Amino acid sequence: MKESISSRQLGVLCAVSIFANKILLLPSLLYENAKSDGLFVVGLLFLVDLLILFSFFHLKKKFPVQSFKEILIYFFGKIVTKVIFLAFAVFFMFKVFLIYSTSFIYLKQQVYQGEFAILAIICVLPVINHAALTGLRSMARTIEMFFYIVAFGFVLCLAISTLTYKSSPLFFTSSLGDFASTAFRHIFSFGDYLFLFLIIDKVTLTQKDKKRVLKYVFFAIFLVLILFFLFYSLYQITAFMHNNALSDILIFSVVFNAVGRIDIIAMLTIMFLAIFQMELFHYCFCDAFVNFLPKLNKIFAIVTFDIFFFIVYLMLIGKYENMVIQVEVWLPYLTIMLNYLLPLLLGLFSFKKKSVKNQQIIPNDEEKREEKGMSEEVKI
Amino acid sequence: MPFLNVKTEIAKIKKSFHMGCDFGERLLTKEQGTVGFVYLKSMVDNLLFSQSIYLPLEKFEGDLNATVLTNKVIQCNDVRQIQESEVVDCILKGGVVLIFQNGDYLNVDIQKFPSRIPSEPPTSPVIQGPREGFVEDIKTNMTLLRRSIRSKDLVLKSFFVGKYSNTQVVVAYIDGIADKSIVDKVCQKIEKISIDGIIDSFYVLSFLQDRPNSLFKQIGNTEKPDVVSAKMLEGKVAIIVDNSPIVLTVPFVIFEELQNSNDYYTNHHYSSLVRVIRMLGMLIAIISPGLYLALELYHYNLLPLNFLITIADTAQGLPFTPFLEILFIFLLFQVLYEVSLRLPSYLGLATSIVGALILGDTGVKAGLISPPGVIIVALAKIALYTIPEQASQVSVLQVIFIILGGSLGLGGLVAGMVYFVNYLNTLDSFGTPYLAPYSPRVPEDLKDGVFKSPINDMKTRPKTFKNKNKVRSK
Amino acid sequence: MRLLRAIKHTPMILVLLFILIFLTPMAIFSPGENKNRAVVTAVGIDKMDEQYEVSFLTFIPTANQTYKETNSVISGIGNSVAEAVYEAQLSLGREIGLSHAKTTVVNESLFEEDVTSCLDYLSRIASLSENTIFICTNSSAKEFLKASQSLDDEVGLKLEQLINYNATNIYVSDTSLDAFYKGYYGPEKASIVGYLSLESGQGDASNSPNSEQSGSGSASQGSSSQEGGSASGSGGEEKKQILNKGETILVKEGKLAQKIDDEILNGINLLNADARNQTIHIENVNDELYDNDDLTYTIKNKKVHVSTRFENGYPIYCANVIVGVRLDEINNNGRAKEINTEFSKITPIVEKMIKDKLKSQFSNALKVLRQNKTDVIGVYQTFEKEDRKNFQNFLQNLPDSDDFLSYITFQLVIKVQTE
Repeated sequence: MKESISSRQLGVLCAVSIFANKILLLPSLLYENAKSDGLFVVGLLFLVDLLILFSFFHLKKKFPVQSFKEILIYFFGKIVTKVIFLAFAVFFMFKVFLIYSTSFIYLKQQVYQGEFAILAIICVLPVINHAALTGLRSMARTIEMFFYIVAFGFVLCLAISTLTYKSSPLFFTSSLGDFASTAFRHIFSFGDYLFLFLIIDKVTLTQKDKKRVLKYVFFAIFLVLILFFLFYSLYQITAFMHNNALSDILIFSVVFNAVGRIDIIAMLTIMFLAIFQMELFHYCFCDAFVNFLPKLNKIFAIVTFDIFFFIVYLMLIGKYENMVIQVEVWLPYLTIMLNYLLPLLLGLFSFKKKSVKNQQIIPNDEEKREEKGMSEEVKI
Repeated sequence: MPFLNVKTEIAKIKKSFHMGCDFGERLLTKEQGTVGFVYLKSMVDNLLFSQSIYLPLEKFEGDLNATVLTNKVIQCNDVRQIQESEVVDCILKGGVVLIFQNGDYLNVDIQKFPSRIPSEPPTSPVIQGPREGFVEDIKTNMTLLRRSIRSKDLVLKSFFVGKYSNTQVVVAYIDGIADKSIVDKVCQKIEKISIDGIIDSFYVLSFLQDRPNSLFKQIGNTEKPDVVSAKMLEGKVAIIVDNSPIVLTVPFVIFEELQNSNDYYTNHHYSSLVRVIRMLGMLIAIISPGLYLALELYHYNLLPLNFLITIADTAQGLPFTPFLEILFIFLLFQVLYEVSLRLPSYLGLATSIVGALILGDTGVKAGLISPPGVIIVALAKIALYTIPEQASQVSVLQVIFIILGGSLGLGGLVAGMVYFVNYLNTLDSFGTPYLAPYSPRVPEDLKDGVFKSPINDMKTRPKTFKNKNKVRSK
Repeated sequence: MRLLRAIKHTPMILVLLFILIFLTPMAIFSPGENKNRAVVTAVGIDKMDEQYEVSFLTFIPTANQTYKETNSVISGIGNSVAEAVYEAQLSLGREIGLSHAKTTVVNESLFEEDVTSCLDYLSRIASLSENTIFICTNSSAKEFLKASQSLDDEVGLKLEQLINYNATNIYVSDTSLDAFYKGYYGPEKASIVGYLSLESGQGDASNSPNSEQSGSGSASQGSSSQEGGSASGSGGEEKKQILNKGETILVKEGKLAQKIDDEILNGINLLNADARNQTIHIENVNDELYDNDDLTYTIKNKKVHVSTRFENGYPIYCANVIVGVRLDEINNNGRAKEINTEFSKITPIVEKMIKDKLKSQFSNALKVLRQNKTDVIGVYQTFEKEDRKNFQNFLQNLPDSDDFLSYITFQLVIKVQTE
């Protein structure tokens, strides 16, 4: 199997893919609209994400060796497949932009205390380009290597902030309308598990492996929910003023005052998580792009991404509010289409059609991909 | 039967050695025939030659032919009949070649040249455990290995590499444990080496690495026979090079450097603690100067106030900017290191005193450098030697991280770390991921990772790399 | 050519080259952030003649071996806080860095209008951390910062340590900027803010650092220092001293509602389980153990159980308070008695007197809170959590929903026991 990764690495990727802006800006944005019920908004959207995960498992069971492209062509034909890949490319590109912009604002305020646009681009772009170029396996291994350290940092932040916990926030204060509109407006921050479909042929999943993946997924979701709970508990009414959740929950701790800037743990955790998530989604963009335009190779995809990055940086990321508008205005529709409709359709179709285990649906497709430089060495 | 003029033959061989001054020749003429001896005086044991070859032959009254002499006359172990084409080679390897009138050639190996006795290697001394180290003589090295692993399955395959040096390279492995594909790959790579001379095992190392341009070495090396034996028992392949006390081992993973032979001869709890310290030492060595610069140049806000006060107070009035200051101290340390390494030990001590006490202390007192700067760079430089084998590459990394931290701040350091780990993940040594068993994670092999289990807990051979016969103990 | 080959082999070399060529030279000649910015440890805001004066206690790096802070107060005046900060930066010649600011002092006069108007810029734009201690003072905040400089020199106490002591032992609530905002943006629109007064006095501060003792027992004083110079006590000149009387102010909608003393504060904190170490003084105790004695007890532990209910649509706030006390002093006509084990039990009369004292403290405090419509004891939150629907109905039916405290009945059951 080309560029294959282990189930543990898949679990780690799933875990890492959900953080970034959920641990920074999202808690305060959700509080503005849904008060403490933002916690339930997140819970609900996570539930939907879990459905995507299960639909991936189902699809993987039906098509154990086929690539996503082969599956899509099998169901929808070549033209629709191209459109879907284009949508995927756009989706993941904006995902990277969103993560970049939220981390950028955070780092600018808390870490760099001033302008650092050029520095940020040099820190981020070469690293994520390199990761996308070297392929999924080395990226997954890198993330696996850092995961336990980063998870420890995250848990440490939560543990320190529990020392200042006083009382739980007030729940069920927002109306159903507020709840629904908040969920819709911030839906683009979710749907991270879509990347699974793009790497469907790069992983082998037994029943045991699925359990392992789920363990990592639940661990990550648990951490995020605990963070939301602690954040709302700690700040309550002033939650809307605090844009950097993971970092801000530490600033009232006794340890913070005794030791000094203990939130450096949160800063490093956030920096690592943001880079990993951007690497993963950048890789997904490249994969979707190469599938959309099969005549072009991965390097072309990376160059295209970089060009768009600079254009969008000048247009949107430079002014963060513009990015938020994009996220809240048209990206939710794209998310709904890809994140909810597509898995639903795939699920329905796969129930209807017969299983195609160990059967190559489109001959020679693998070979074509290999020529384009999308494959790596044999699994160890 | 061809009749050979021995005298002419000797002259011919002597000519091929360009009439070298250490070329030795003797002619023994008896009724039964004439025997010629050719050898290099500098390479053979002259006493053994006269007592075990020449004198017995002089006294011998029988027929002078190769078979008879081999079986009845010459009192040496290593005697064999050779072809004419091999004559020069055998002489070069320290043999005495006997030339018979019937066209036979006999090689008697009585080589002798100055050699060290195995002593404790200066690079890896141990508190407990064997104190032997490899020497330059390949035969002694093979003996040391044989003495460690007294098994017929210990295979030693010999190659001669180098157009002029004709250096012997031996591939050692345990048949039944080492994976054949790795052995074959090593042998192929050695056979393919085309070079004028192999002076040290590092020459071979460059040819064995998949990515020779990489900053990171992909082959293990050690001076200790016990380490090589232990690695061969894990299924690794050793490469011994004549004239070099450093033996190479493949496959190699970077976490091997964390292990020290002392770890296996002491309490495993202590070993684990020491390994954690070594790892922290490496991290401190790589990151700390860059981090200090990043904090001073960009992130003063991340420093606790009391720490900031100390740094700001001490940096007050310095002529250098923080970046220049760190570079200056770094350069000072590196120069001192290079000097003390090459000077004789009695001068080395003097240099250390001049460097550490006079330059450092006076530098601070003169207001050229700040105490925190000296402490940080000194700490990084000392921490470098928690794993001395990695010192050279970590020194380069230090410079890179100083540039990253100084130019990009904390973000640069994080990005650099991610990049380098990603890069290391693209490396592999004979099919083994470079960062295993942590990336990819191989839980079974973590028993000998940062935290070490007792020997009797390590029941299987590492899964990280290919080997046969997984069970080590029951 | 070799470089080109290397770049082709490892494209990252290109990035390293870019950094080396464009960024490293800039970094090499950069003196560092701590030299580009003034590190501010405390901020003071005053208002005079419709103009704002923002003062900063900044740390001045000095080459010495003592590693002790050398501070100076600089200030700027402007029509807005932003302008005042800009002026201060101009006079200092450096940017202001607020990341290490631990205290924000605001002059009382700023509380005449909504105080958030002057805090907004600092907390939102200038990155003043919300965990910064927020206090009010009677005199000018600038003078206050100057006086605070000598605290460290003379009594080895930093301003934030003093306020943290107050926050833990006297206010028993967070006095941070965030705590203030929590009250401000909350439905109660009320918060409690620490108060330290600055009084004029004569004398050499270095000789008598604790000459002015306040009722609460924690006092400190400082000497004013010359602007820009390090603090040093010099006798003879008029001094401004920071006096800690354990006072606080009640703030309603960002405006000062009432200044409250430690007695009222103790009443407010009766329902706060964390509030310990307050003293209870009862006089003329006469029973089988005491003979017209004055007793001083200290609260060593406290358990508070709160429940709510509604009767006829009106809320009732029930609190069961178990107070664990320790007898600290027995005084008979100016003579201290030895405290033996026989005094370890609490007699019914003493218990009653302590209860009465605590109830009266609470009732006085409640009166003040009702009067100012300032719920700083979390009554609103408790009802919201326990019975939101009924409480909202109750609020809607009130003529002034802000005055809800006046319509709530408090039932207090106090049990006194030895620690």
